[in-house]
Amino acid sequence: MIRFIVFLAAIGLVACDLVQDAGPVPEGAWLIPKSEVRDGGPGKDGIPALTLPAFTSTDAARSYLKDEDLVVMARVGALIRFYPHRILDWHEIVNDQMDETFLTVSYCPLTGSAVGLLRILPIDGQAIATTFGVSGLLYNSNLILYDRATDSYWSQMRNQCVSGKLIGQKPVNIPLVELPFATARALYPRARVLSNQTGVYGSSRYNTYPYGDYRTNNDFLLFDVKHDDNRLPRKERVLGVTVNGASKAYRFSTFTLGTQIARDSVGGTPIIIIGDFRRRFMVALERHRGIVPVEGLQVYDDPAHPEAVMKDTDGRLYDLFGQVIFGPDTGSALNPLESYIAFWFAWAAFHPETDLY
Amino acid sequence: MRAFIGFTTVFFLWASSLTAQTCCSAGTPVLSAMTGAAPSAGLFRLSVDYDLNRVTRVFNRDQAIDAIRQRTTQALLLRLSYGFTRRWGVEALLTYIRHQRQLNQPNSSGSLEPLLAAGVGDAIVMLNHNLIVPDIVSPWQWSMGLGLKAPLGTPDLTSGGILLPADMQPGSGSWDGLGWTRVGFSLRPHWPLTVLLQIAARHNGTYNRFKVAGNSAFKHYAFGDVISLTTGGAYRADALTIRLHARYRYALRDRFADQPVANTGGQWLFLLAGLTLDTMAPFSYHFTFTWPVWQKLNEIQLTTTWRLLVGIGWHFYREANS
Repeated sequence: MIRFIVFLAAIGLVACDLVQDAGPVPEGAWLIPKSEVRDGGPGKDGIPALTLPAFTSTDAARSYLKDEDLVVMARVGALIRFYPHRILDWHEIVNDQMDETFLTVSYCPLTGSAVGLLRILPIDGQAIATTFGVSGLLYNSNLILYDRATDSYWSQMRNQCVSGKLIGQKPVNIPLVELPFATARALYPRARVLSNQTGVYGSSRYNTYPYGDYRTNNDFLLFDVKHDDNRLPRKERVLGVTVNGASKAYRFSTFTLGTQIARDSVGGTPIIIIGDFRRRFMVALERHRGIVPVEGLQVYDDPAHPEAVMKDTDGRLYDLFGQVIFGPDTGSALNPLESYIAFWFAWAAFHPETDLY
Repeated sequence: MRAFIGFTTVFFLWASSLTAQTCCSAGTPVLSAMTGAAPSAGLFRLSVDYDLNRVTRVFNRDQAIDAIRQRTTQALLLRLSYGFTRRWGVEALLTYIRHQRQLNQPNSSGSLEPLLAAGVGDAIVMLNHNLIVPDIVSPWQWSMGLGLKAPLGTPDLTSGGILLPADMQPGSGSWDGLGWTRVGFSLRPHWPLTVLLQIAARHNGTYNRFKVAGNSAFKHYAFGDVISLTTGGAYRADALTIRLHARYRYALRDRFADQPVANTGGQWLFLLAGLTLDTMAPFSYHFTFTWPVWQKLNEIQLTTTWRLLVGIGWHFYREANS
């Protein structure tokens, strides 16, 4: 019997821990602490990104979207597309193309953040079109993407490649605007909407939110957060802006008297924030078109130009993307900023020194 | 004894070469593996089991939905029990766990992205007591046990330096309390059938999954407590015993930072069919197939499709061995 027990102990010693990973994370440097990166559970591509999916009209989309459903809007030239949260919740990444622009719309359900990026990357001196996938890894509960050209890993909210061949690269961002479907449809009735016929899941899948009460329960997190800032409720959606290393967050509650424009400065750069608490949108833009300062921006509301939300003293009308849609210099735009809406806890985790407007 | 050691060696070596699945402590059949009556006085039992748990279905509450990925669990279970007296005994369980997850379809790179994690799992020690010992006069049996699950297994394996999720860890990291009670009734001599009713429960402790320092609520992760109710019968025909059981399992949600975690916990109803063969005493061979016939889960979860347990047991009396 003693021999048997010793035999078992020997087996225990040789039965040591083992991990085999067909696609291990990149060796070498990481710009974020690996000890704080989490495996979310599904694994690489366990959440399937969409590539060149189908779109439908805003009228047809009413069959599967409610007026209050949030959508992410992207604009390329005259093309406008909506990417509904209820589809993004299940795929997190859409690799799309509008005219000659190859873009990726990324959305992280756990941090409530949508970031658009150009999916043409400078690789070895060449501009290479690629697609992004969901790595299955998280940092501060936030999505880490990977590009399929080099298998480099990109932190969505850090807005940077954090590991791999392209480490340190910042993507070229495609500005996105988040707002309810009803508001978006009123502004851009001829926009195209990401279809729920994705070919990956049955369309009924998108009627279910996959994370229980996560969106509304301020106390419910799935992963630890290094810097837990309690100035605001964790799941309050804020607009975060980063300029020249400085960061500031803006609250919807600032814009309770209809559509309003706030003038501020971040990192020494004059900016405006146009927001509306009832219509649930907030957008931050520089007060410059190129190098030209823009003064006297006011809220604009005219059924003749439904997509116009601002005008300046020279009669230019601007849409939510800051693009001049009527008047002098039509087609030019207010300079975009590195800004996106996210849950407060995530914004504060990535920007511990953030100011609060 | 030598033959048993030889078989066990071959069994472990074969099992360690397997490239398929693993089971995390949350999926290891710890409760069902342990719930046995205290052996007769001086009786020593060893059992080596192999458990295979295929986790391929995704449910949204009680509706099956499309699955993108799958997970498979393999476990080696070594059970040892000894009867001090005809009423009191002790039982121990050692485990080796192996997990694998992969996609159901290759991704754009043609890969199923398999990930394998394995290691020694948690261990259990149980004190068992026979309140009513079956004999010639009484057909009734009533037994109970109380024990602890010790976190011997590694709960923080990493891949490339990145912490793997809880369902890919061999160990749970927590001390848990276990208990069970079973009432059996034998229909002998009229019919070689024994029916039973069994209740088992597990209370899970907490574990600091993310190694959070200081006084933070993020230090506390606990798998949901579990209670199971099993009923059924065993029919013995000479050296062959045929078992058919139904098991209801209820698991509470996991808790993290004192909050219930979505997509965890739920209810299951299983059918278990098994055989035990005693033709080569002191060795016996057993086989159990488990099939979930109903489930109602909290939100959306990957869950068991079927489960298989095979094993070999060996018993001897301590007086004869010395």
